Amino acid sequence: MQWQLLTRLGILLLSLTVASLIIFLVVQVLPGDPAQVVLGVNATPDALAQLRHQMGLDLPGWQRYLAWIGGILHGDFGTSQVSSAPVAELIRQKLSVSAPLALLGMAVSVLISVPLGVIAGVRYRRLSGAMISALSLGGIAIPAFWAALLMITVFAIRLHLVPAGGFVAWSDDPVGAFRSLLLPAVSLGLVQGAILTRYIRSSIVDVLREDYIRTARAKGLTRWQALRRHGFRNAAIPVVTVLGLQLTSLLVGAVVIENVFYLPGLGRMLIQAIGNRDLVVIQATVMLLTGVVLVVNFLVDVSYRLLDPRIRAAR
Amino acid sequence: MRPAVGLWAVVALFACSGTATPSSSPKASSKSTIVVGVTQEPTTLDVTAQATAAIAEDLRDNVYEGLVRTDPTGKIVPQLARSWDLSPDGKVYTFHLVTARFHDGSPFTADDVKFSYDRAMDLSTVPANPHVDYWAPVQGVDVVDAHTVKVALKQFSDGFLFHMGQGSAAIIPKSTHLTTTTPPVTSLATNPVGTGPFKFESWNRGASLTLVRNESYWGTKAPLQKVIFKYITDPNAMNNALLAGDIDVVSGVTGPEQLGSFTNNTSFKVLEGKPTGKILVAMNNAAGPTKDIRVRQAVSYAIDRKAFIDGIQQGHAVPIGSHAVPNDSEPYYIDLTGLYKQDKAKARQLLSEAGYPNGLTLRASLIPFAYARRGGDILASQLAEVGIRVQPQNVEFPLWLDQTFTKHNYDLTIINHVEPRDIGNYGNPKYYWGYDNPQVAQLLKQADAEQDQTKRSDLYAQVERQIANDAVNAWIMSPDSLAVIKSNLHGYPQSRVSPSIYLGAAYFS
Amino acid sequence: MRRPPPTLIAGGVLVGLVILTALLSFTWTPRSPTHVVIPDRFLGPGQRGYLLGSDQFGRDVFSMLMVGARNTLFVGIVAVGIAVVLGVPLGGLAALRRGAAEEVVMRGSDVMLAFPALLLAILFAAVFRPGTLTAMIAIGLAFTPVFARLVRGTGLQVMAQDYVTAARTFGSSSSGIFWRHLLPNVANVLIVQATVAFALAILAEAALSYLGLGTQPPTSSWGRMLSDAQNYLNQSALLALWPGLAIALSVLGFNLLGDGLRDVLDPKMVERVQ
Repeated sequence: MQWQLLTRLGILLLSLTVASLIIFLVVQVLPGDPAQVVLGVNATPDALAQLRHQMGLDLPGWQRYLAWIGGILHGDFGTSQVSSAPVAELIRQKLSVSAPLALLGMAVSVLISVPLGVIAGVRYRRLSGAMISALSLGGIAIPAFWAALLMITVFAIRLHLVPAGGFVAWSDDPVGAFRSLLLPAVSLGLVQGAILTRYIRSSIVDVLREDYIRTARAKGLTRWQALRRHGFRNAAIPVVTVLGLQLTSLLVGAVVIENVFYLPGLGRMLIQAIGNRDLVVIQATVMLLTGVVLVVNFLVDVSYRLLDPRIRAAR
Repeated sequence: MRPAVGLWAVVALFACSGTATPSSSPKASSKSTIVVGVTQEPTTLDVTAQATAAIAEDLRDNVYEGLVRTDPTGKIVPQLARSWDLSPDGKVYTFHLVTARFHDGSPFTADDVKFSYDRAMDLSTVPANPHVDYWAPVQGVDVVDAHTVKVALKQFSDGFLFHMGQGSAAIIPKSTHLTTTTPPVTSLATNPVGTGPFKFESWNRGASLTLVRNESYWGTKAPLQKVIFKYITDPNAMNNALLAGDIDVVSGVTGPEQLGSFTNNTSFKVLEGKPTGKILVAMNNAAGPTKDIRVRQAVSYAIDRKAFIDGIQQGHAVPIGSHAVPNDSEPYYIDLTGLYKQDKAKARQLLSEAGYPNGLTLRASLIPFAYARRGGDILASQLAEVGIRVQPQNVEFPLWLDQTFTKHNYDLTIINHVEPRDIGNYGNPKYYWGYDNPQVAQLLKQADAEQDQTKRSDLYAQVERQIANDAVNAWIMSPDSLAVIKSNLHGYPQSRVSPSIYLGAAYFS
Repeated sequence: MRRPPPTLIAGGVLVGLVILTALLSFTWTPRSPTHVVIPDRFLGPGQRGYLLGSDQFGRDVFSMLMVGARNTLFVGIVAVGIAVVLGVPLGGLAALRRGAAEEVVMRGSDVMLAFPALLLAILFAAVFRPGTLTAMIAIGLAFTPVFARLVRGTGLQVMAQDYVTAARTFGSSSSGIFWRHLLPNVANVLIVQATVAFALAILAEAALSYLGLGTQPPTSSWGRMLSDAQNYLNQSALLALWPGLAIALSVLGFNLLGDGLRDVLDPKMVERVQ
């Protein structure tokens, strides 16, 4: 078991390194001269050359790469070329928006999918089960940002219940901040919830077909009772896996949703940084997102092995 | 029951959010904080370091001040220079300065003026001043005493004093230093210091900028205690914020189609001021198919200005036929809109003569602002009708600066020239239009050096006619300054000729 | 031949509709989708002959949807095509050769899977010119590991069969085994996965176009129509309805088709998930 863990860990580190290499290589090909962007239109060629030197743009690629990696390990993500703010600080600020959004979205998706998925699973041969299944099929087809637009139209523009966009700082107005995250979280959560519903349903259906459930039912237990006693734990295993992977989709979905609602989070910062050719911010943000995804995948993988005794026993 | 719990949770989510109703009555009259909705956020707070108007919008006249400023109609009025004399030959300005202090406590003196101007003029300054050309006519700056400074010009310049009222000519403390960051910026980039009626308090990037009243202001103290600029890019979100009471002002209406919610609402006032800015289709006069005047004329003949005015500005704009607008900042304006009335047949004919009987393809670089992206669609449709296929290239502003403005790698672009009195650019063959006409350059020099108002206007008029005849660009319209404010707000600028949102006289009743 | 499952029929109808619309758009649309007629702005469905109404510039929404269908299918075909052309051989290589080749392919897949399609496409759009081509390549590359793993997984099962061992003993080359034994047995699973991937590609392209990083103007695209519509929600909320509906129905169609195909081709197959 220990050996497996170490191998997985090693793979994680390798993946992180390769991912960082890919990101660095791709971003450094970026057209547009960052020095020109910063100094503006009337900068003299001397000033430009001086700035390029100060930004380290004339060092060889591998040196810049190592410097970047070294910085990250110290928590230094560089300085934004456009706003001269330390990127670590910017990330911290933006995380105070993106993290709650992702978590809220996850909460919404779980709140929706667990009850619906369970019903659909238990009643999979009844009309209610089939209807929920059909509904979820529709749900996964809906682009999250479209759902967001429709909800903006109804809840923000027609009913004035929530703001149509923008964000109030947590420190200024916590209630307002929460209100600003509601529609975005629901847009995210609805679509993810539909996906999760289908997982839960199929997982429960699979479990219901297992022999030990049939035995329990033969003993006189209802489906619910049988599940509660034996099945839910086993049904939970693949669901836990999926929850972890959901985080990936949530993070990526949040990038788009933040732009729909003009929320000052990581996703919006990334899109703006692309427009501003802010290499440092782009590199840092994509690396952060990719890193989170890789780590989450690793944790899910490990927990899957821990939870499922069959896998633990095998190998 | 499990499912019921789930459902109730979802309902609760929506229900608990609904405590706010759109406020339809003005707040109490003791309100001393104003929240202004702005679309573009500055990327630095050093107004002498970057060309974007967003910095001057928030900070010029509020935090930073110059020797003079432009009032809402475009006239030059005193600011840090309470009066000035001009020598008879028009070459020497003597400015008499007010007694004031900077926000860091240091006294404002003529030394600060010399420091600020010398720094702006010096080509080796880093970061460079975005409008170095404003100081081109200047010979030298001399300190006479603590409250008097002389500026000697090489010859009289009509534009000089006007330009000193703009953002980049702000007077900054002589103690301003560069920080050690990479790239180098001044301390003003994150901590702007000036002499204005408001002091900088904090900047929450991506969200808002906060100013507080300067209690030891040299002039009339501002009635308001606090100013918050909120950055909201989306016109819908902006309008909803105003309707919900989250902001008090929509400072620049980018989507006039939204005005309908406010015109019949007594809680709000729609301010429609003078037209400012020149929205035009800039064309590359030095390279590509647009180098040929017939192609440029064809573009001009293909355009129907009314479609732009109605489609983008909902009628809130005036058509323009050359590089000038009908407001007081450009008194030499003449109406040349009749020169290229839409004539599709003529456009096609000109294209044939130029060697494109079957039409041609032109690239159009478009920045993210509404007038450019929407204008791009309208332009593509109109030019298609005369056989020109437009290839739009959506670019962010920095990329536009790099490719179009600096490298001149474009055919067409739609841009709004917001700086008033910038017709001088037509005398600069290196400007991104690539227009090289020595006669026009000569006329511009003469006009700037001409002390007689009437003769000067006449010279500028000649320039306007010439550049229109040469179809250097296709001028479309000048949008009206549009803002929406709470009806109990007074003292808010009716028009904005220079970008700054001056709030030193604003108050709530 | 059993009666085809309802999912297959429903999916087939929807997908067929999209394909037909796209094909039709090449020869005919009610109006030109780029023709601006300012006086005809914000018309409702049916007014002045605009089937689904007009947008903020008086352009015909229905015509724009038709051209958008063409664009959507194009992206899906190329993106999935890239993923299949790259992923299947890689997976086959892993299954046939095992050892180092398998490790490289599997680890590479792990890393590539860390780049969700959208993130990779955003990165590509930032570096290279944003556009349809960049989007298709990015999405295709992001989906490649999925197909590689699929082929490897099924391929391992196939390789364990006796007749394959026999073929090997008789000197069949690897590529021979790949084409004659591996591929035909993987085909069913591949087809189902391809339809699912198609649906996801449509969603990814729509998100990209919404962000302005996908299909560029003047080519009509459903995602960009939504982004435009957001500015005019007060004037005409319907403008935000039609393109989103088009996207949802297309994605639903492909998902249903995938479900139906799975039921027909391999009912015992475990539900594979993205």
